[in-house]
Amino acid sequence: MSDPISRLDQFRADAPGAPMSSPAEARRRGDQIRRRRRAVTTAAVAAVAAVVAGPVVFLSAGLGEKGIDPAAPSDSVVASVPSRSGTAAATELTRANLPTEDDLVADDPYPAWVEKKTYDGEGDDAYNDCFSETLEGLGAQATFRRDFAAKPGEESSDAAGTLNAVVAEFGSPAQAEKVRTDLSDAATTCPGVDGAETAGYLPVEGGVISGGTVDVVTYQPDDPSMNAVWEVATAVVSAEDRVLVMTRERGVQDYVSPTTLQTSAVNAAHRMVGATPKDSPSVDPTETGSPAADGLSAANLVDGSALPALDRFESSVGWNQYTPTPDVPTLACQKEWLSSLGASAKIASDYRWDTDRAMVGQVHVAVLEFADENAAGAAYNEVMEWMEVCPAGKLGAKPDVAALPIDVSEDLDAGPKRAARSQATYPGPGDGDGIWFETELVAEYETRLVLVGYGELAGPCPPSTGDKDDPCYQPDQPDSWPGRILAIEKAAVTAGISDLR
Amino acid sequence: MDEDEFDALYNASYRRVCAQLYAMIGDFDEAAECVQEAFARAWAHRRKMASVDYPEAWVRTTAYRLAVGRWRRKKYARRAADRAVGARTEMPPVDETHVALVAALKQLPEAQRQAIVLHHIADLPVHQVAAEVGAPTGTIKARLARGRAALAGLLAEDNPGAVWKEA
Repeated sequence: MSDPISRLDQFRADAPGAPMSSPAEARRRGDQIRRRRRAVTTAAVAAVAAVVAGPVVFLSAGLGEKGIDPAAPSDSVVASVPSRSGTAAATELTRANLPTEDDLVADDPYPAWVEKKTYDGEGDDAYNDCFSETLEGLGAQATFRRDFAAKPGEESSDAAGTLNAVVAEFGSPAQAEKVRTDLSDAATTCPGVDGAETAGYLPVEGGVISGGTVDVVTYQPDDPSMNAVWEVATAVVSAEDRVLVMTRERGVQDYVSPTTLQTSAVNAAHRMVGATPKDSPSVDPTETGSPAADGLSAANLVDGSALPALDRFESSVGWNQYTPTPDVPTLACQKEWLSSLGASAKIASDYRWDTDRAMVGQVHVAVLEFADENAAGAAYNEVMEWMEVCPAGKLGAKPDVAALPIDVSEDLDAGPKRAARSQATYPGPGDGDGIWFETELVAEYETRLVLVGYGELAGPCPPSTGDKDDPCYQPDQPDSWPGRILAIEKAAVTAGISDLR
Repeated sequence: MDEDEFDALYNASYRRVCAQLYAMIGDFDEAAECVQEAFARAWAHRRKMASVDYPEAWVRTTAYRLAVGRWRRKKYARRAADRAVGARTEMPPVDETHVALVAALKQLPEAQRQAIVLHHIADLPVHQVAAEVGAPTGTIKARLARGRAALAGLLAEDNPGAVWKEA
């Protein structure tokens, strides 16, 4: 019998299904979800309120994005803020306000983006499948567009899809903000295509940016034989009286993480209003030196794909590299910015885990290179003191030390000379019972230190450890917290000293 | 939605939604876990559920999204699935003819498979399928026609000599 309708009818009649558990069990689980959601929702509201403009520094030399902590507030901090060459209102929008190749970060494994074509205006063809209106139709006074393609001839260039950016100038910042909101809505709902589904969402913040989002949708291609979905990632960002729309479209397997566009959009937004994003850490006068010249490279930073999933929370993008705004310390307990330790070079990266409501996990990693082993040892002792006393001069919150530093050098595969782990807690955003549970690690190997701050939002109980004697034991939660901490530390330390071993 | 209403919905819909999700994702155990989790979420959102026109459709959609999300995370992060309600249940064996049908369904593009399952297994009229997946009715009809034709071919491979043609 190959008649599909009769087969389907038979299937419906038989209704093969699992034995039923009781509805009371589902209600119990629902009550647990409800309690947890209440804590996270409160955290989300305050997190949004807490975002303020702060100094933002970018690296975009093919290494992804990395936060660099600025020195203590001084003139040098001002110097580290992207320098404005004039307000958007004071200068006319030109092609120079379009992003360049250097502003764009290619996602692994695709090659770098290269400029393909630049237009005065919005171009002849649609630059975004989700939009049904042009920027001119929304009141733009001037528009420019630039198309990019993955570097031809490089591996995976055919699969990278396309990327374009359009900048537009409006009559006022309020009008620009209104257009941004409308376009973000269109990017989310994507009325321009049939059956679009939301695949991801990220905020775009920092520096000159008034507001911004990245929305990613996917939809089925017309060709039923195509074994992939179409993905449209749209960043819409406003700054002053201008709006940036950056679009990346590609065909992709539906299990691949959505395009983020975050760093590229931030860089492009700065250029749109005449700011110049930093392109090298050595340009930053507050930095301690050139990482490349001193032997540190991207290989010394843990890759996001090596971080274990935060399986208590669903996230559409998993661990996502980002630039904190305002800048945050690598360790919640650290007293000063890391530049105070006197390293000859430093590289750092930051990852966050977001549900559709709030950030619930954060990983901050810094790798410091010192002139000699004595200097590294002295810096290790200083960091240990921070972990013990937790002066927390840079966090903006007062943490409590939950566990004093203990020696964990034997636990780390890389075999550091010394390694210590402590734990601290500090309030989550808002008035709810959300608490950040942060594990802090410092590891020393020859002339190098690796610092790891790993925070998970929970509360009032810590994430479950699986210990049934623990009064906070939560049978409904995965008991993967200790394993996750160790896996993150191992990955970060192994990468941090990979070139020395 | 109070306890009695929830229990009534659960008892009436659980097996049906399980079967529908199994047909959509092709994994019997995973379907059961996701449906259980979707019902738990329905209870967590019980105030909202009171104003939902078709609670079973809400549960089905939620369960489907959970299943897709879990599959993606497993694939992406190579880790075990999240825990759902209670202990893992021993599943009964599934009829072989159904296994073959589900295997054939699994080879269809997702949009076609979804349309076929909702229309032929969940027994929803075309306009309701359109509402549930957020597509025009014409698109759903096209997906159904293409899906049935493809399914017929796949089932014919499974049973050579028998050919079914779209009416």
